[in-house]
Amino acid sequence: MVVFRFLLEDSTWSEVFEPGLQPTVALPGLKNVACGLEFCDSLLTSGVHPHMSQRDQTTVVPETAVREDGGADTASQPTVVRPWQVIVEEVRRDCDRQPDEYLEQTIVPLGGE
Amino acid sequence: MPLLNRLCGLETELAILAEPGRFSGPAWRRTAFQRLVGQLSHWTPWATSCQAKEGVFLANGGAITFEGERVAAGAGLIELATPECRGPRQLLLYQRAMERLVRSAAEPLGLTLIKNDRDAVGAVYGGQENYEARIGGPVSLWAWRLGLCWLIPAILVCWACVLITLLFLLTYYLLSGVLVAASRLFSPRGSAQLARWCWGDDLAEGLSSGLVMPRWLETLLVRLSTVYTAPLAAAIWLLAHATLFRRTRRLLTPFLISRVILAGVGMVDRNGRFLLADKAPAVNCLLGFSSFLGSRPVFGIGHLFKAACVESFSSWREFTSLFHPLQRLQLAIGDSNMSEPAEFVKVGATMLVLDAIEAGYFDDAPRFAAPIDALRLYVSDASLHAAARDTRGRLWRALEVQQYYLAGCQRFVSEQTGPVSDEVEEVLSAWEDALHSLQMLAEDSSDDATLIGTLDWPTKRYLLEQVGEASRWEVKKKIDIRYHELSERGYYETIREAGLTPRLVDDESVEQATRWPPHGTPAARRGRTIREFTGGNIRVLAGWKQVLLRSRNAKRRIRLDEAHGSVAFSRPRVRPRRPD
Repeated sequence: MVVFRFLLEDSTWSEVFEPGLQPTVALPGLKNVACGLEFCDSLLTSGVHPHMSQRDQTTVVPETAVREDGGADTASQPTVVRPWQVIVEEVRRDCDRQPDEYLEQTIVPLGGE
Repeated sequence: MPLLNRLCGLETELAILAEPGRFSGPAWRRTAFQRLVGQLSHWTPWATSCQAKEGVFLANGGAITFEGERVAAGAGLIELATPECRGPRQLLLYQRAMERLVRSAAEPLGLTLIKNDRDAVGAVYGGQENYEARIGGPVSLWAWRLGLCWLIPAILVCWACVLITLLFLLTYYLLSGVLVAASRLFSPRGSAQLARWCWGDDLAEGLSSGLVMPRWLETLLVRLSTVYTAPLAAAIWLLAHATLFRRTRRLLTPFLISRVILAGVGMVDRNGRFLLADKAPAVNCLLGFSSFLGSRPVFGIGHLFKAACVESFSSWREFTSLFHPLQRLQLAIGDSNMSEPAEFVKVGATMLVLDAIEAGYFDDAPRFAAPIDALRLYVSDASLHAAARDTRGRLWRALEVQQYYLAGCQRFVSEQTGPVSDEVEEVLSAWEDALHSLQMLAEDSSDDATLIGTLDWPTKRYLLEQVGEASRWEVKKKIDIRYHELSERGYYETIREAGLTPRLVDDESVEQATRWPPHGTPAARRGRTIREFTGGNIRVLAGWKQVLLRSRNAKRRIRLDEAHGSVAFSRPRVRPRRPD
C-alpha cells in the first residue's frame, strides 16, 4: 500500500490518504481534491521518484497544488517535486528530540585506532 | 603495471550505539561485538582471526574486528576492513558490502553503528586508507632493510619485557587467589569486594563479558607497555622517517592536505563553527603511530610497529615480510565518507597520483613550509579562498593544489603508451567535475546545488544551514553525528534512500560482494579457503597473510602472499602432525 502525506506551506502535514481512493477528509487548503489525486497518479506513473512507489508514508510536496489562499491551481499541473525539502523537514523534526541524550550515548570512551 | 591496479583497502572504525536496556556493564561494547559476530553466521561463513585483534575474517576476504585496547575502561569500536582490492570502484563496492553486512547483523540486536571520525567530546577514531606502494629507490630500500636488521635486538628486548609482564600477571593472579581464599574464611562479603577489586567483574561474579581484569590493572599494563615499547617505536619512527616512502610522502603530502575539499565529511567544532573535515583538525604530525604516544599523523606507521613487535612473535615471516620492496602505505588523514562519489574520487585520485609519482611525475609539486598549519587553514575555510604558503613563497589555495595534481595526472594518463582502462577516465572525469563545482562554489557561495548530495561536507552543511542555523550546539552536533548512522534513521541513509545522491555501485553487486572475494588479490584465496573449510572438523584461523587449518591430528599453513590468489585454487593437503 502506498500512502501519501502532503507537506503544506506552513510546514504542517495534511491527512494521509491512498491514491486512487476517495479520501475521507478533504486535504486542508486544497479546494479541489481531484487535483491532488491526479498529481499523485502522475508522479507514480512518470516514475519521477522511485522512492514514492516503494515506501509507505512517502512525503510529497506539491508546490503548486497548494496555494496560500487555500485554493488549488488546477490550471497548471504540478511538475516540481522538492524532496530535499522533505528530507530537511524530517531532519528538523528528528534533531530536536533529546539531542543531549543522543550525544551522551554516542560518546566513545578513549577513541580508537 | 596498469594504472589503478595496486592493492588497496579501507579500514573503518564504527562507534556503537545500543537501544536502552539491551546491553549493560562496563564491557557492554565487547559483548555487543561478540553477539554481532554470532549474527554474521546468518549471512556468511567466517573464521576466527589469528591477528592480534579479536575478530573474524569473512568469506568475502574482509575482516570485522573489535578495537578495544581499554575494555575495562568502557572503550570499544567495531572495525571493518575491506578485503584487498584493485581499483577504486572495486574498493567502493566492498566497502559498501562490509557496511551492509555489519548493519544487517547489528539491527536485530538493537545496535546502530555510526561511521564517523569523532564523537561529541572530541575522541578521534575513524578510517584509514591503505595502498601498496614501492618503498623507494635502491638506496632507500637497502637502508630500510639494514635498519630492520639493527632493530632485531630491540625487538628481542621488547619480547623479553612482554614475557616478564606475563610472568608478573601469573604471579599476581596466583597471589591474589590465595588472598581472596584466605579472606573468605573471615569475611565472605569482604572477600567478594576484594575479588572484584583484584580481578574485575568476570572472574569475581562468574560473568562472561570479557572483562578479565580491573580497570586499574588494565591502565597499569597499558602504561607499562607504552614505556617498554617506546624505545623500539622511536627507532622505527626514525628509520621510517629516513628511508620509507620518502619521495612518495613528500610529493603526496600537498595532495592529501588539499584533498579535504573533496573528501572531507564536515563537522561542527566545539565553538559551533563548521569545518570541512572531521579527522583532519586532529592531525598533528606527518608521520606517526596513530594515537600511540599522542600522535595523529597524515601517514601512519602503526602497522609496521605491530608487524615488527607483535606479529613477528607468532611468526618470524611477519618480520621478514617487511623486507619486501612493496609495503603498505597507510593514510590516516582521511574521513569516513558516506557519499559514494566522494569515496570514489578520494581513492581513485589518490591511486592515480601514486601511480604518477612512482612513474617520476610531480617532482615540482608545491612544498608547504608548514604542512600541518596549511591543513588546518584549508579545513577551517568553507569559502575555499584560504591560501597557504609554499617554501618558494607562493600562495596556494586548496583548489589550486588539486587542479595542479589533476592536470599532472591528465598529462600522465595521456602520455601512457599502452591502453588505459575506462576506470581511469571515470576517475579523471569525476575529479574534474568535483573541482569544477567547487570552483563555482568558491566564486559564488550560494552555487552549491551540484555538490549537495554528491560530496559529504556540502551536504552536511546544507542540512545544518536549513535546520540548525539558529539552533543550540547540541542540536547541530546531533545533525553532525546522525548524518553518519548506518541505519534508516541516519540522515545520509535517508538521502540515499530517497535517491538524492548518485549511486556508483548497484545493490545486486553489493549483495554479491558480501559473499564473494575480489579476484586477483590475496583476499580471493583467503575467502575461498574460509568458505571451503569452515563448518567442518577443521578449525580455520585466518589472517591477512596466512590461513591456518587445524584438525585433531593435522595442521596446515596457507600463505596468501605467495600465489596472490590469482592462480587456480587447489584444495590444500592438511599435513599430519608428528606423533608426540
